[in-house]
Amino acid sequence: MRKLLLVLCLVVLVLISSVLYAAPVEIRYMYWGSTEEIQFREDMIKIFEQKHPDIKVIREPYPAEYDRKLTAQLAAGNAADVINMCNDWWGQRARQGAFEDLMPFVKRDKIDLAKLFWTFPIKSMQSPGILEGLPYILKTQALFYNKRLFDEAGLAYPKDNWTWDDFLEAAIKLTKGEGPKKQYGVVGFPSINAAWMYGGEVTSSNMKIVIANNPKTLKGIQFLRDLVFKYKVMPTQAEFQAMGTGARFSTGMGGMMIDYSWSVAWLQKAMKDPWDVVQLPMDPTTKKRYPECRADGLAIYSQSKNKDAAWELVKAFATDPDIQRYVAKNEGIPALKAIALSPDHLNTFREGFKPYNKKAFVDAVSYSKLQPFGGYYEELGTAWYREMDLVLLGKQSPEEALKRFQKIGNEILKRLTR
Amino acid sequence: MKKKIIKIIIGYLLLIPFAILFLIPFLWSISTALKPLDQVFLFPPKWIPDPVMWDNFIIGWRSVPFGRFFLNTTIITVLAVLGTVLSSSIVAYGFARLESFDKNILFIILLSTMMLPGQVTMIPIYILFKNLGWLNTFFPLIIPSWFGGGAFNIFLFRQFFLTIPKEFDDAAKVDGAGYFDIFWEIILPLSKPVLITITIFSFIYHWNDFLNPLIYLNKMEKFTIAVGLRYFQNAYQATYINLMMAVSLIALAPVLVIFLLAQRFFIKGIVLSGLKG
Amino acid sequence: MYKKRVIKETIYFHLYISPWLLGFLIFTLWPIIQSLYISLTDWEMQLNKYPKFIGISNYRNLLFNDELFWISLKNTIYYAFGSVPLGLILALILALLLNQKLRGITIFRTIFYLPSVISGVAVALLWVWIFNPNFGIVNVILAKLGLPTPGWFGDPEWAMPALIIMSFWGVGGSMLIFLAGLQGIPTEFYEAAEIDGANLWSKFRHITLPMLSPTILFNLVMGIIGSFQVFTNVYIMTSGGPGTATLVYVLYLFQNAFLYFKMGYASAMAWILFVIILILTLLVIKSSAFWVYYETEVKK
Repeated sequence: MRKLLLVLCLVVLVLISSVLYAAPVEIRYMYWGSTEEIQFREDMIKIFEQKHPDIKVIREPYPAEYDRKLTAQLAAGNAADVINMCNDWWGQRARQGAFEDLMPFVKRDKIDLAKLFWTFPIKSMQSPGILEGLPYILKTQALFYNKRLFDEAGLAYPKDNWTWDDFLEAAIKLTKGEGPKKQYGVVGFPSINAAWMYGGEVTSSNMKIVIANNPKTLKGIQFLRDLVFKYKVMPTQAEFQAMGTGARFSTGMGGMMIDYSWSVAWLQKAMKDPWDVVQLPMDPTTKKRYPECRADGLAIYSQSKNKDAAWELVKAFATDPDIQRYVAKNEGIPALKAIALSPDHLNTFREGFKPYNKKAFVDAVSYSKLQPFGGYYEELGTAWYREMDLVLLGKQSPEEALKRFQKIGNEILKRLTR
Repeated sequence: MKKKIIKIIIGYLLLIPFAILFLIPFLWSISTALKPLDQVFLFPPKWIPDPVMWDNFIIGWRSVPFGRFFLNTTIITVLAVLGTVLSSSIVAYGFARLESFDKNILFIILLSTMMLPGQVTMIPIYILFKNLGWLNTFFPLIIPSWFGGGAFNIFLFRQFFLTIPKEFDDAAKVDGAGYFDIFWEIILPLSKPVLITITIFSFIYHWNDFLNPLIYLNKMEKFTIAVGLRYFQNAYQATYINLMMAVSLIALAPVLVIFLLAQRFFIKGIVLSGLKG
Repeated sequence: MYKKRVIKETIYFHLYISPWLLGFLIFTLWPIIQSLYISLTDWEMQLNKYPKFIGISNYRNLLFNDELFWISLKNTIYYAFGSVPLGLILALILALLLNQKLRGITIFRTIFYLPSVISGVAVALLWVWIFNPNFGIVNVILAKLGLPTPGWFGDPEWAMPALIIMSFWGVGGSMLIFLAGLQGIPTEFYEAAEIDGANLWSKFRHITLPMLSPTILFNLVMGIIGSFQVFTNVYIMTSGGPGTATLVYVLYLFQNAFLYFKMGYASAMAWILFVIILILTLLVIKSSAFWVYYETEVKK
């Protein structure tokens, strides 16, 4: 009898304690990334978990083919509670009902979006009425240049007030030599930047139609083509096949490239020559520049059973100062404006990094644009790059390319947005 | 006699250039794998690296969880090969030794499935496995092998079994052996060359398979070598060619070793089954 | 008594072939029926969860409205016609060379055969580097010989030839089958021909080739089926580029199915591919009546 009592007591004790120490809520979080990026996410999750012992995050990193996997999981109805996303998804997922609208959460927790964040990243994660995700890191473009090659050519380093004419002039002077070891003025120029450089567009802002076939866009693509075939200051497609943008720039075989802020980390390791960045050159007539800004953020799966816990992670990634400072210190531009603009972010560098003009990337955020080829619109991107390939191979004129792309692209968009 | 020597010399003279052509890709990739990065982009290139960077193999191996990928690939390959060999030999035994009114029509169906491109069934099978909740598991890569193991393998086994005299079966039957005893005790032990051939064939197939893991596996911890290499290629772009060659060679190593170990049986098995086919 | 044994054997037969029979029903027959149905539906997994029947629209769009479909078909035919005949000739030459009684012949056999067993991603990566326009070994050798050095995968005209050349590295499989065929030709035939004073060429032309023709047929059919389904190399090496120069059929099918999730459209593509392969194979087999000699005929 006494034994039974003891057992009973024990059972009650166990029950009570299990109620008191309730099993933490588990939420699944899926994200992409290189080995290094996955480590960053890991550290950020750890900061979160320390502050939220009641929530356990199940990590689901996907190192490759993330969009494809996400689509499959959404179709199968078993996506993770929290989903890493990018603003170049254009709000499409939320419109389709795959992602929860975050606006009610934002209002409930009284988050002042306009004060905390730049307008662009938030706007680009919004489609009319719904907020698809909240950003935690921003990735922008700048002009990278090799200081040694500029010195050798007797040129002054690029400045923020450069126009595309200055850019071309420098590119010509930086080009020398022949054959496989030829030194090029430009070794990286994304075709989307060419489309935008004189104020051109590829699609309408609501992603309903393709409007690439216009004089401004054409002028930009023509400029890009001329870099290769007229001025011969940029490698041909075959030359790029032999050695890509990164390899050329990092080994000192190219004077300038337009690239994203994420390239800083590996250049710091791989490049021997001194280098730096400035803002993209401007359109000479309008004095405007058009860099791209991609914002990675978190979204909540609309079928999630733990939306409140999921929201905690979304909110923490975007607004928790400790997590945002971690982003600033290790990875790139944090989404929180105050932290991004703080001297602490602008003037301090990751361990082992040489100082560089971080401000160029931060400044780009406020006037940036967004490529229309991400995630859901990948098919449009495939068509675009196919046509641009042919231009840069000299197999097709820019006029033909834009005309063809407009036709094909409109068919794709008509299907995707029906 | 002199004529014979000339014939031998001509024979070698014709063989050696081809052999060199076939070996160059290997040698070139080994050479690249052992170079420091700046020597990779030398022009004109050097064949012998200086210094020899054995480290490339270690750096490449560590840059992505290749250990994990190897383990996954091994698990999948071993289980799939086992399924292929067991099920295709049993089925082939049925076709070779047992009689039934519908045997011929079934055999014709079996042969005709060889003509069907896999793409036709790829999508419904994907949806089937998705509905079973088997995405991101090894099941889609293993289970189908246990259901017959492929028409071509069944065909090869059957052709070989047909060459084994039926008197052996009859003798065993007199001793009271059942169908399975005959299959297990008599037929299989006599079929070593074809067994080894199909084991290696299917080992290579599953070890190298890219499309299926690409479709079914999502998470890095589930990746096979083939998908892992693709990931490595994406992550390191074309820049670290030397590391890429190093990891490619590591990935090829098991196939090379197994092939060289088994090739004595292997070639015999193919030749024999080819003859009978 | 007799009847009972027959019934018993019939049951056992089905028992033994049941793994294949089940597999056939689950993984072949049922998917074929489904795929035929899906090909008649509008099913984009990104947009609609369930297939919607639309008749033959997918087929109509593919054939009359999709430029890329025709480009991919053209590219595939280019690849097949480039790689299969030349590959077979190379395989036959190698097999003839290996069919000599020389010391160390097994080493050569291994060297020729080895590349064909190590297909896949690693080999594709290796060949991208071999064909590198500036630093690849192919162009280095061509430059040494004073020949032009193409841009290979960077040049739409040369990307497909590069893929075809690469495919020759894997002819070991058909080579081995040829070798088996060669070793199956009775030596008496050659001895008899030698007595008649036949030279090397006429022996090849009148004995080897006819005796080998069934093997050639087999390799030809397998080669056609294989080349129409080329995927991994293209996916890894060029992703169909530059432009659309190497966009082959199965790559485009894969993109539609697993990149854009247009399942109905992709299924229709799969069926068209099946029909093409079927027709080609039947044509080859039909034509074989004119050029394949079976042993019994020769003996007559």
